[in-house]
Amino acid sequence: MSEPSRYSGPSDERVERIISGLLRIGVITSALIVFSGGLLYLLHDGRQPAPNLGQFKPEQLRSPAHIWGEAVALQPLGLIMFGLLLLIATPVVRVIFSVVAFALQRDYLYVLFTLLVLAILLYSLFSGYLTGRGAAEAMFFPPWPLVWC
Amino acid sequence: MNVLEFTALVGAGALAAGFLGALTGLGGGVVIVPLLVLMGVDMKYAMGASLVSVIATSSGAAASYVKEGYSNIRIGMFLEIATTLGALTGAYLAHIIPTQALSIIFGMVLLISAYLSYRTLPRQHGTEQPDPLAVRLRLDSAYPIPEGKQPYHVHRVPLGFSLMYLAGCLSGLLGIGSGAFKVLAMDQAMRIPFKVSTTTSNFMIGVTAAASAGVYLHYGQIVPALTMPVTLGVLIGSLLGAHVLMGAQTRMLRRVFSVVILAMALQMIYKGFTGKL
Repeated sequence: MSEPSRYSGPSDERVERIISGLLRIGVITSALIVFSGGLLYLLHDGRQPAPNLGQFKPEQLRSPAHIWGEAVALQPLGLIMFGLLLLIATPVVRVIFSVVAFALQRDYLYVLFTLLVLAILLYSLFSGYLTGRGAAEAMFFPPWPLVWC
Repeated sequence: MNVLEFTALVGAGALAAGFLGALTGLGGGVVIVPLLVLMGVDMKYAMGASLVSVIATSSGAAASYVKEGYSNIRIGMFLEIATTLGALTGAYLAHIIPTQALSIIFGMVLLISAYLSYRTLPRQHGTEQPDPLAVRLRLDSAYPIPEGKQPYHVHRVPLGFSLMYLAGCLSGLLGIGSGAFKVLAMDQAMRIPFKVSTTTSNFMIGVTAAASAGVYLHYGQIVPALTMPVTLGVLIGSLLGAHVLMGAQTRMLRRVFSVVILAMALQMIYKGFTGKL
């Protein structure tokens, strides 16, 4: 906590308070959207038979563009998925903020570490849609994934 | 069963899972996956729902922990490099490994988690010499105690980093937060004080899970009708649990929780071997 004075910018405590606030806003916002979507879903389909989830069949509503389209059309499941996407994005926003905070503190080693984490996250979220293949298999782990784990 | 009943049932189970998960620092994922499988949900869907709820739990509880001043953002950030890489690997492996094998691995990981949280190993810190690598990485810090601030030193960074890669791998592979393994790496390998380990672990879980969530989403493992009650239930349960945590007897709680985990572990292994998934 009490770093040497060669680090300027916001103190660690202040950064932690802001991060705490960011996380709270992200979680509350996404939870409210998921809740609203869920409410609409139950009002529309509450009396329908429960979905059959006994056998895995990939969910079709999964690309960010598709989810956005369904959400702005106020489709219940689209709204739920949009809220879930926001939730998944919350840690990403936190990492982006940390990059800025470490940069303001002139702690360049940690700017580097944080950028590395950010790159991995963005890669996971978007590479699958850019290449049409699964995120991890696209380039990171060619035929030797078992050696990695 | 109709949608209304299904949602209520899943939501109630998720509430309990989130509560237990936050109390013990192990996360709701290890409870919600076996619970959903018990209800007849395919494990791949259960993992997707659990993983998203893990992000909510972690971020929701971290918001309060961070304020308390226990979690160490530098330790978290540095080790997240390992956990996110591991998470990508694990999420990819989850896609190619048969569900029955995943179930058996899940059960075994649960058993190890239960064992880890049951035993209490003697630890000594505070009086040790600082570790040069940890000093270079500025990982050493202090945490609040009633008398003020208690400084601590971080040790065996490469070992902790490797264990974190493995923890991330398990998180992506099984759709859990793998808090027990993150705490093991910090508490035992790196000799970080327990309270700092658990809260920093919680803090890291969200980022780790977000890395595999992208892969899960792409593979269609995240279903809105299931993930909605799971996420909301686990989130509310974890917030309640986090409030109870302050000043609670964590050792006793961890022991109680171990028994629950043990039963669920055996269920997952049994299901994996008999193929009733």
